[in-house]
Amino acid sequence: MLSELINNIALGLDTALTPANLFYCFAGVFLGTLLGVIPGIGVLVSISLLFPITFHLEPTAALVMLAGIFYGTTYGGSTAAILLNVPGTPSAAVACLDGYPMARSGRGGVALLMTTVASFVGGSIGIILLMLFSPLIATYALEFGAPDYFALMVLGLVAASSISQGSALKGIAMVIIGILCGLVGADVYTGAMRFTFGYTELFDGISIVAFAMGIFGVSEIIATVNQSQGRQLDSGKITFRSMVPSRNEARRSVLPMLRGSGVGAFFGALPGTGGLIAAFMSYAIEKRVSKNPERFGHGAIEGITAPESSNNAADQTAFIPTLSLGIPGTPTMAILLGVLIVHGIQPGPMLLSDEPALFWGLVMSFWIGNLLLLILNIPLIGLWIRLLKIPYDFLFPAVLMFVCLGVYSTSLSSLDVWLVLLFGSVGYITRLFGFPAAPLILGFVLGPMMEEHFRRALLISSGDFSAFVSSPISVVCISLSAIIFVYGIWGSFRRRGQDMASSQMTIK
Amino acid sequence: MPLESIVIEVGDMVVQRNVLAGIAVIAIGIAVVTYSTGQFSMGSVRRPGPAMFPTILGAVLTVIGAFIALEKSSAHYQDKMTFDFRPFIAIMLGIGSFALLIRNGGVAVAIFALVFISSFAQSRTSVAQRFVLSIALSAFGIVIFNGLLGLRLRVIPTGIW
Repeated sequence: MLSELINNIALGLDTALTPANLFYCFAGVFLGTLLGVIPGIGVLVSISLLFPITFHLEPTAALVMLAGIFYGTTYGGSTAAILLNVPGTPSAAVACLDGYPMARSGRGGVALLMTTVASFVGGSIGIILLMLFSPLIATYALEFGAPDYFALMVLGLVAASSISQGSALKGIAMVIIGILCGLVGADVYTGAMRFTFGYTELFDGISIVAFAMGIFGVSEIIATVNQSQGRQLDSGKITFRSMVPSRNEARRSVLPMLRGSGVGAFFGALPGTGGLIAAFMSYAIEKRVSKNPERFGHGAIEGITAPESSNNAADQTAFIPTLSLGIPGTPTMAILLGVLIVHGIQPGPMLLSDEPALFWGLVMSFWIGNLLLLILNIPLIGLWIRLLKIPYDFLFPAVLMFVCLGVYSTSLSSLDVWLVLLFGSVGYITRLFGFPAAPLILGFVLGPMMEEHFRRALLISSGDFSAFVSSPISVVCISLSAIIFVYGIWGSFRRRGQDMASSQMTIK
Repeated sequence: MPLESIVIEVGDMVVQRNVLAGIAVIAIGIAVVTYSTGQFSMGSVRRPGPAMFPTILGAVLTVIGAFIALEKSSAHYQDKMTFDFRPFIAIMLGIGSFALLIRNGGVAVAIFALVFISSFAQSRTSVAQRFVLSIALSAFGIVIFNGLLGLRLRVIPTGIW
């Protein structure tokens, strides 16, 4: 067991330390931090922006880079939160609560350094759990049959769409629409053309790049163009000397970081929760266990270190279900799985045994990436601050340029650009009506796999629907999904969504 | 222009918006069911055809749409969500012109049109600034995609060279 792990680590390092992969890891975390710092460009926009570039790379390098962008944005997001009181990424919203007061009172340097350290601690704990649990789960999952997978996917989708957002019903509706978009193209079994409306370009399905960029990139830009004025930079002077925390602050941060990592690791691995919820939870926990909770909101160091370690741990453990089962819990993970599929790699428990170099190389690249971020972030803080001063009016056209040219470059088909336009307007309009966008991409990626398992299960059982509840796993998953679904609907009618939404808004 | 003013006549806006959303979802559900059952074969439960899964989804979607129409809306969305016509139209027109121009117009022209038109999403920069930005981003795009990524996208319009 242990020697196997060591062998795997060696294999992983071998892959991750090739000059090319090292470069893409660096490029990923650097671009991720850069885009994460800029408010209005979150994880999803960053990933979908740089997604087309990774089309031209080999799969391991592509994943290493995209994953780097993912956890890099989480690091960068807190910088804008602390200095501007504007979360660069949603999951950094909690960092505003105590980080911004610290910056106001001239302790911004300490806040920035401690978030970086906390992020590193959280990330490391998350990676260790990822290394230990993924192989275990994957071995176990090799025995799963088609009904089990179908049930797991149903659970993943139902949980992801009804837990975190306002209305559970609207989340489910978006998942289904996402699945239907994923089914466009030739049917695997019969070759029948479904929903292509005569466009030959759609025979292979809707391009995931166009889909993701429209839904997340374009609609996000439309929504934020007029929200970005009147920012004030409250950085003061950030020197290396000003970053050194007092002994008291350092000591007070140790336990919160560990607690935060634990909370984050747990929520990261669950479908539908992830970094934002993990950060809020660990903030609440710290406030409760603290001897003097009145300091929170006025620059308590625990109030930034716990949530930061938490959302970084969550970022890493989110890879556990994605890589070991092939079931993504968040839209970011769905896009990463999409990359695998585009490169012809079938996600699922076989990934670990079929592509050990890819899996372990990716995991080891997380270490390198987190280390790079720790080293990079501190000397580059000056650069990030300067970046925050670029007006959004110059940035968003550049983002659009990357979106359009990026999409066009993957297929050389202008239909894909039209699809960006279509999904961009759909994304914006559904947002106005309170529909969450994240479930769309989850459904889109999981849809085709779900249908395959659905049909295979029926073929094997010769049409007996009780096959879907024939094993312990499928029974548990289906009943859990039913409970979450019913609870979600019940909650929607009791205006639970309102309380959730308003509690998140007040923090912004 | 706030979306409220479009539909508010009918009564309580908070309810209206969900009714509209629900009806749209129901319409999509019914359309999917009709199209799937009409266009591809349903197969049997023993051997499910290409129509079966979409039909089931369409049916579920229709039911959920009905629930959405009845759902109480969270009061919070209404003050937050207003339809911003200006950026919506500008950015859609920008992307549309890129799509029209990219094949025969080339990268330079297409990006110029995209950036220039979509920069009208905001009113804070001057036309001269937008013009310069459009030229700069065209050059930047060519350098990144044709240069660094090594793609061979057409740079200038067909017929000129």
